[in-house]
Amino acid sequence: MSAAEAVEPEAAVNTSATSNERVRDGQLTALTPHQVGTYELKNRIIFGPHRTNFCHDRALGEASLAYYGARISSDVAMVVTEDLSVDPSDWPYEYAPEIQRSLPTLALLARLGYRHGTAVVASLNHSGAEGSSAYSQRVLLAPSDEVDVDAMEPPKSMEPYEIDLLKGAFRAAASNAVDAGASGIEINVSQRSVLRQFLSTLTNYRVDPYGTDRSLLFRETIGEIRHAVGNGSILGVRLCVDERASWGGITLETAAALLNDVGALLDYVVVTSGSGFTKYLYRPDFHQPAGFNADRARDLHDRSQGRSWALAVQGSITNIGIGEQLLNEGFCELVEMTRALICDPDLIPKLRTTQSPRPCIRCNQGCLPQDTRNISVRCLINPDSGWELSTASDGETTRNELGLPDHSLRRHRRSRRELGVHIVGAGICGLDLAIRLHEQGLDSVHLYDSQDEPGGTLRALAANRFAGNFDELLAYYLDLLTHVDVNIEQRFIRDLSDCNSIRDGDVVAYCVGAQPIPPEVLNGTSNGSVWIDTASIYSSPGIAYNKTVVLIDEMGSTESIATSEILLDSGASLHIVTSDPVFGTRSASTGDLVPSLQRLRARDCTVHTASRFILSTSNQHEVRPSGFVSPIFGHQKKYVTFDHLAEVGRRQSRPTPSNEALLNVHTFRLGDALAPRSISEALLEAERCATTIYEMLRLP
Amino acid sequence: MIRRFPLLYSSISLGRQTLRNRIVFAAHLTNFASQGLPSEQHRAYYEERARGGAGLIITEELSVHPSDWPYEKMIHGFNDAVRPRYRTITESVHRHGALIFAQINHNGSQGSSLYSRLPLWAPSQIPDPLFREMPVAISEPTIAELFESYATTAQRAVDCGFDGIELQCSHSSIIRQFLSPKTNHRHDRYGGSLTNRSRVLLELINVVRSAIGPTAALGVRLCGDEMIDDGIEINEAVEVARSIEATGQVDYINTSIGVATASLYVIEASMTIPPLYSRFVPATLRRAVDLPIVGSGRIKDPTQAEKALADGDMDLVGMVRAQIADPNFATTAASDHPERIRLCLSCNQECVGRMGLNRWLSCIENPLAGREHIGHLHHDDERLDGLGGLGAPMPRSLGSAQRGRQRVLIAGAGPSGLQAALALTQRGHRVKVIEQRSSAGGMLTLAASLPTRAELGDLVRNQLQALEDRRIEITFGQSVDLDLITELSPDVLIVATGSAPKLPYFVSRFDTEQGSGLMVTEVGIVLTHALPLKGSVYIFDEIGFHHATSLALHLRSTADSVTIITPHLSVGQGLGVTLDLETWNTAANEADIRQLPERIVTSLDETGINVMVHTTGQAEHLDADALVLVNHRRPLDDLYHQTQSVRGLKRFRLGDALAPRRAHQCVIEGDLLGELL
Repeated sequence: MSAAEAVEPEAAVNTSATSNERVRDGQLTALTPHQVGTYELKNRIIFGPHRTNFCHDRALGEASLAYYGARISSDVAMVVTEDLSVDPSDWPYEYAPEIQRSLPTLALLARLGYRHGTAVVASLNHSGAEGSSAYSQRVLLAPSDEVDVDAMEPPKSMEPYEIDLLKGAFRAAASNAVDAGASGIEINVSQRSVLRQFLSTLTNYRVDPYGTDRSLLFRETIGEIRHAVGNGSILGVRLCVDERASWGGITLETAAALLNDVGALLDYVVVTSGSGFTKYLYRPDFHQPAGFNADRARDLHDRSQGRSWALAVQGSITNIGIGEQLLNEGFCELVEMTRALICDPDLIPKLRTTQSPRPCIRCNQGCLPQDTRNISVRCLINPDSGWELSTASDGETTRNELGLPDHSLRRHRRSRRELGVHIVGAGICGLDLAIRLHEQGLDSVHLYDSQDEPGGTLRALAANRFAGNFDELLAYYLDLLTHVDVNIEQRFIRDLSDCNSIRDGDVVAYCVGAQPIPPEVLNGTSNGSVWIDTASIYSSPGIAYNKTVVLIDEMGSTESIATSEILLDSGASLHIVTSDPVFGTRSASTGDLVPSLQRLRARDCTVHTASRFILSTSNQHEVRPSGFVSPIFGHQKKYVTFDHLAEVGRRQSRPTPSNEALLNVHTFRLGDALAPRSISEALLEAERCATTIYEMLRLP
Repeated sequence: MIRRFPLLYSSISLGRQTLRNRIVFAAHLTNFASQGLPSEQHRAYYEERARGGAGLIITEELSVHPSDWPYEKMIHGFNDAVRPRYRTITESVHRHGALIFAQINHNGSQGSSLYSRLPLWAPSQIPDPLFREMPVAISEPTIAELFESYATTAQRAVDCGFDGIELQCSHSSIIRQFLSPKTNHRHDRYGGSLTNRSRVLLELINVVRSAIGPTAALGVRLCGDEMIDDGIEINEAVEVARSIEATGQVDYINTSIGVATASLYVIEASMTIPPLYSRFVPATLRRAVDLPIVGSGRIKDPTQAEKALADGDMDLVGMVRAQIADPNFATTAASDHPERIRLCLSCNQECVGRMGLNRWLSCIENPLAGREHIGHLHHDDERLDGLGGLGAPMPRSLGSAQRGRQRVLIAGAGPSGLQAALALTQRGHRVKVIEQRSSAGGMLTLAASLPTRAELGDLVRNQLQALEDRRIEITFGQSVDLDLITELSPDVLIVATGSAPKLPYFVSRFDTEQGSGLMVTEVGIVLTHALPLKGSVYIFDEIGFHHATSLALHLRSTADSVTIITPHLSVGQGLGVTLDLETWNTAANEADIRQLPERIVTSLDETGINVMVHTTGQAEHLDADALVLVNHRRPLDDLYHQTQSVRGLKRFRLGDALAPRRAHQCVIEGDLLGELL
């Protein structure tokens, strides 16, 4: 099979336990306490280390405090910080925090954790060959000169004195962290770690003692750290047990042997997988099943009889049902649910109520900032996650539809009883707004939708399983709706007078979404009948059965990939034409770029990169439409006959209802009705609109 | 009056502002901003060019509105907190006799909401080809708000000492989007005919002039040709220029070509595109209007600049990269020794290349570019023998206590050795350089011998010129070994001996001759021995940069066919940030060079190469006569290890001898040694 391990779905967990499982406190194993070293964790749930891009000046700061604070104060047992570089020479990305500069905020976090009974653990790391010289302008360090495929830069093979300095740096970092109040330390021996590089046959070709015994540096470092922090602090290791490279690397056998040696010094081990070649398998998107590391964790448990350390299972554990199932099997004691807690920081409190947590759908579209744009961590489906600091400071603003502060809106105060809010469109934007307004105690909210079922574009998205788990998101919203007292009136609002008892001074929120427009290549032609739009493809993919489809793509997004896959799955023969050099590049941050190409290569799909599509104009007499795939840099055009033509991302905002009655209402266009973008903007704008309406109603 | 370049050094008035010469450090992104504010990094950077003699500095764009935040390190010109920062910058520049204008802008749809979380503004709901985010088609009240924000931003800048304002209406700009038929599909008075499409610009000019008053200069940067389908072309640009002139409110027109998000490779052309390539734009506009015209486009030689002025193609010359590489360009060109200019290579590696990666701007051969405010060291306690050290740890007694002139022996006259020689000489050390080959430059000189890469060699030329000025001689054809070290008995040994080819697992040795059967060799060997490879030649590229692509163009002259295979998802993936992809693909197509991505070599046999397509697992056999590897090399640091036991000798390795990387690291490490020794 392929060089990196084939991405096969694994029968890891029965995921029929859904996010809607609600059990009262006391019945869930996940909510029971557990002893880790000398520390009693209040439950089994961990918020694991991940890149936030908050750490300007290489220090944990205010944004980190607010972000972790939201999880600390909502009952998470253990919050592990982003990797802190143990030495300034390790500067893997621009906002990579380093331990010295992070101590002040770490101390504040620790105090906050103490108040809430949450363990605050500092993750310590040195990236080695998986780092970057772009910021430090200094050479990378590694066991050997093996080049990491992402860093693409030969490192320096560390000299003995540098290995000593590295151990010293870990030691000092650990000491300083616990002196600052951290409950403990987690050592990164998984993704982007020099310690992992020393352990691995893929990256360590040394002939000195640190090469002939690849576990030496790890064992020495752990020993020295435990000695430095004493027995009163938690010491955990994040360990890659499977590099998913068929020709070598760390295996469960070597990992188990390692833990046999140093296990007595450890309080917990987080089991991860994925190496330098398979970074995208470390926190994969929905294409990998939930709980995909469970088998590895079980295997490690089986090989580690009599262990004194707690085993934490990691890997797409995105709802409590899965976590609970794994805990109840008995091979693990802790569950890391990082993305679930990014999506909903209030996951745990909600378990004690009838409320479902917002479901992490593993889209990876906001929570894995990997590239140099330094985008801060966020969540596609939760507009507050990652913005805790700014929400705290500017949450009380009236804004116009362009998102800009508009103080004039404050003057239009109406009483709660008087103000009518009319939401035109019950897609995710309108639904979210209606729910928020209900929660704010607003009585007269009218929600209209022209379709017989709510959900709008989200419903179409949910129909395409290749697009992800959007069906779970839709279910979440429909479930929320049953808890609020808002009726959806099925009605097409052509004119504002169609709204129920609309009056002067009312608010109208246009959440009418976007409509498809034909591919640009069809402009000015009479070939409109060959066009199929993506929403139709998602809802009725059968139209492509046994047909040849030309899919033009200038977006290169996850939508591009999902559209291709549903067409192929419905039996289409597909030509993808894109001017990009590689298809789907904008999906790279989700980790699905390479897997998507693997999947497409296996199907009846021809991807024409660096190309444009030109329609034949002279085919009126032919039975089938035809065109040319024309390479941007060459001259050899390829003639293609086809049945259907589609283009990814061709939408425009739907027209808003006219206002013939000339009512003096306040109007907002939200979401795709303002500009067709993503769920993220729709939810953010719904939130802002709700806040604005709230402010408009506030008494002076 | 400078005799050699009389026009270049003649003064010129732009409105009521007078410049001492025609040399402009035109607007360009730097990524120096910190939290949306101009920084000390900016101040020191601009001051250095003012000190170096530039007549006019135009800052990078200052954004006029919070809805405009296309890249992280944008300067938020709408934020009043910029004032004290502006003042320090303008004062620093004025101190050295240069003038400074502020370019102001709103990028419209050529932007992103990822930082601002605000929707994008544009004339029409059309997504940008690079950013791909759908904007809002703004209404007339919003256009009025836009004008207001330009006015206050401009006024703020002039209040804080800027001598003029340049309106960015090209490259990446909401004004350009209004002007361009590609992006403006409005049906109101701001869309349709050229008159309508120009309306926004002309109204804006009035608004800004009113805000800044009559003394400050006002310029407009206009695109002469967008180089895209249905875009602005020169005839429309001429009309717009005429209507700009007719307002009577504008003092100059700056020119450009291309669209930043569709044809950036023509805006910041690399060495593959000839100098003065966009000359027709300023030339045409200058003949259409009387306003002074600024031209630019890979102009880095004072002779070229003078000629462009003499030919009447422009009145002022924008020379950005020339002055990034050499901040003293203007004074040096005016001196008796213009050959001492540190010529820009137009490589785009550390200036443009870093912009695409959201990093602060620098220069491959001027490592102080972007570090004028702090020098090389990051931390006060930086040590060469810390983690990531260049040298072995020193016993305490021989540490920093030893100051004063050192006798330094440098083994190797490649870019790192030459840079170390320069840096150490400048600090008064006594330097001796010994090179094994018969000429300097190492791998870099070899690389520069390939098609389209000649200007890379200027890096070494510049270094050699500087060494000659300091009367440092290089001994060629000699190797440094233990005997020589004993004989010369230096205080410091610098091992700058470069790298050697590295054998991958599927190759037992590299060939230097083509015989029967498959010849297997490596790019450095091909260049060192000038091997004329024949037949069906394959290049296996693991680096993804110019090595393979320029080698392919070179080999095409002797081989029957040339194919590049790479494990990457496309060939030349590193060429994107240096803006060489389009020109590479055009050349590759014309030369019939095949490109096969997603492939790794698994084994070789007499008839050819066995590869695997790693995305499918499929195996392929490629019949070949020769295989050239472009892979990561190994450091040649034997001398460093051999001298471990020499008493009292301080030893360092740098450049490829430390780890084989790129040229800028050689230069940085050479300079670093100077600061630390």
